[in-house]
Amino acid sequence: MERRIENIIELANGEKYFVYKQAVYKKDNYFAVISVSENEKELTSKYKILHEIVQDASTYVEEVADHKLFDLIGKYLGILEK
Amino acid sequence: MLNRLEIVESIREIISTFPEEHDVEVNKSGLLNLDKIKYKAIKLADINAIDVELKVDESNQAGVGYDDELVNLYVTRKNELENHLQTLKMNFEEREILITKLNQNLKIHESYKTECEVAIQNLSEQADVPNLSENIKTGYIAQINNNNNIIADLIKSCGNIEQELLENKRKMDEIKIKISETKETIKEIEESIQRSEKVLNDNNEQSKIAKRNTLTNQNEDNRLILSIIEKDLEFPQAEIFLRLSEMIDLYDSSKIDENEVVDRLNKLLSKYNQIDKDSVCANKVVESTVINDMITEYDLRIKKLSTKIGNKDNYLTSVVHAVKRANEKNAIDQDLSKYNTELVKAKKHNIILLQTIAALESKNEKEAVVYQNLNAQSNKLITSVTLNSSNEEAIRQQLDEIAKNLKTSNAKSSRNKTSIEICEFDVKMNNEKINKYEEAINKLEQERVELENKTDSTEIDKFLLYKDETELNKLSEDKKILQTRKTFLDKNLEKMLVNLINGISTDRQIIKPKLVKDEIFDLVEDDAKYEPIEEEKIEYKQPENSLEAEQQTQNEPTIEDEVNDFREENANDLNMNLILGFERANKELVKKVKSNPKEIARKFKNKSNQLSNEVDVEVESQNLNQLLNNDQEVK
Repeated sequence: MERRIENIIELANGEKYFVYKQAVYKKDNYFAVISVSENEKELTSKYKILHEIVQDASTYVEEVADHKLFDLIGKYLGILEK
Repeated sequence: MLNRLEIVESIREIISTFPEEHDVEVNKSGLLNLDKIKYKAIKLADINAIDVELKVDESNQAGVGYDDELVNLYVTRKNELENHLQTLKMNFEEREILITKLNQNLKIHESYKTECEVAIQNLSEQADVPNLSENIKTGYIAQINNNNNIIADLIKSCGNIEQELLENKRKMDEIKIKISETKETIKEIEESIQRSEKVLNDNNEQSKIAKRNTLTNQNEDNRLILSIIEKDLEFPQAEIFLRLSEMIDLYDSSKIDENEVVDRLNKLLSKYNQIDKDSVCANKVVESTVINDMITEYDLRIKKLSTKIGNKDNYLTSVVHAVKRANEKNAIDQDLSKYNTELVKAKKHNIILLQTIAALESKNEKEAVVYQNLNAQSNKLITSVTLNSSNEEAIRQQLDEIAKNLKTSNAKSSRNKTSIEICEFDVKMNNEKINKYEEAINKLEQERVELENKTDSTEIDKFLLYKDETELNKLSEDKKILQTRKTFLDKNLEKMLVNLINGISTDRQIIKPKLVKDEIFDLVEDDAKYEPIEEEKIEYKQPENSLEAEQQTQNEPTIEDEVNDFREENANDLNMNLILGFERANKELVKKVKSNPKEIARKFKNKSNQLSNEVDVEVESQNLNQLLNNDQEVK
């Protein structure tokens, strides 16, 4: 698992995300990300936690949609406003 | 606020600046703080009066990212930093003592300087007295110069001392900065430990809630099961209520624990199952049967695929053999063609040689006639010389001429004979060659026939079809795809078996409650565990009759398509997105993000609220649907 903080992730659907924080939970990688514009210079409006999945030698990400898991990882990373 | 990785990095950075001689042993008393986190036991006596001691073990700590190694690292680094701070303080005190000493030395030197200046002044005044001898004057001047040099040296050393003082002051300032940085880092580490403690506590709270919910749900389920038993099977109602109320009383008064409750309910269920297993578990059993059918279908498919792979292997082997044999045949054909060419050449050469021999023999015959003619002419002339001596000289000349011609003819004939012999030898050699070639050709033809007998027509056809290397490669690729498909099927079969086991166990008995610490995390996984069953059920439904099966086989997509579809379906169902790559963000963007952490935290909080609301809306809509259904039923 490599450190991806302050990296830009480019996805197959064309979206790009700035990795704000990174956590390892139950041996899986999670990224707190903010969407960025095509030219990678501006932040846009999507704030997500992505779960990294390695399958058949390819790496995918899925959005964490479970709010309990979102809060748990968010608190651990210290990114949720108290 | 720093996260775990940043803290570790900053600690490493600070430690890397420490001189080696300042490395000190770890003060183990620092572990007391860790023990609070690591071995804290929480009693859950107030949850449904069940005494469950929750120990936060290593796995739970790993669960939130603070494993033993990391926490030990924090504590070790904290102790090292404290020791280093102590060493720095001692150094600081030593340097203060040194500065005091240097100040004292400076004062002594300054007083000495003043004394020297006074002495110089006196000496200068004395040097001006006119009646002192010149020698004394010179001596004084030398003394003055000497003293001046000493003063200059003293001033220089004072300057050095001042510089050293400044240097020491600068070092002290640096040490002070480091001390304050170290204090900040320690503070951050402590905050981080507190934060992790808080997360652990939160987890425990959530675990308590989850456990309570699970128990409540189980009670609800149990009540439902009992009502079904009562309604459908006319199980002695009074007895059930009696036992149930007894059990609930005992449970509420903490006389029995949840395991006992589970055991009792299982006993009731087993009774129920003995009366009529099908009524409660019918759906589940049907589901299990469907899953079993699907497993059988999977087995069949795997078997079919294995056979296909085996066939492909055999096919590849036979094709390779066919190619090998074809290559051998080609080599034989090439040899045959070579030998045939040589044979034809040798035969042609023989014909030429025989023609040459015939020509030479014909020449020899002509020469023999010439020779005989010359001989006859010579005999005639000899006779004429005997009869008529007047022409003797002329006849002798003619005879000489004839003898010369005879000699030439003889030589020609002899030369021709040699040529004929050479030609005959060549012919002989050629014949030997021809025999050898013919023998080789016969042998090769025999081999060729044998090879053709070995290769049956199908294999030749296969060879014709697949002699191209591209075809062979395609076969290998197909084989790979088949193997990939088989791996997929194996994996899914394993998943289905797990699901089947889980399904049956929930069917036949009530699952004992899991350990509190695992529950909240396992709930997340459980949701995903059952997903693949539904997908597979639709995709691989067994056709009922053979005609349908045949049609399905005809319309069946290729294996490659299936693999691709399978991958795509999985990716879509899990809402997964392929990562194309990572690259370092530009500095301006990083600065922009770092400049406003509060705003970002607020946005993430909004997202969290949004997710929470979505869940609430979903639950509400389910409740609403339930109410509507109930209304319709009542109507």
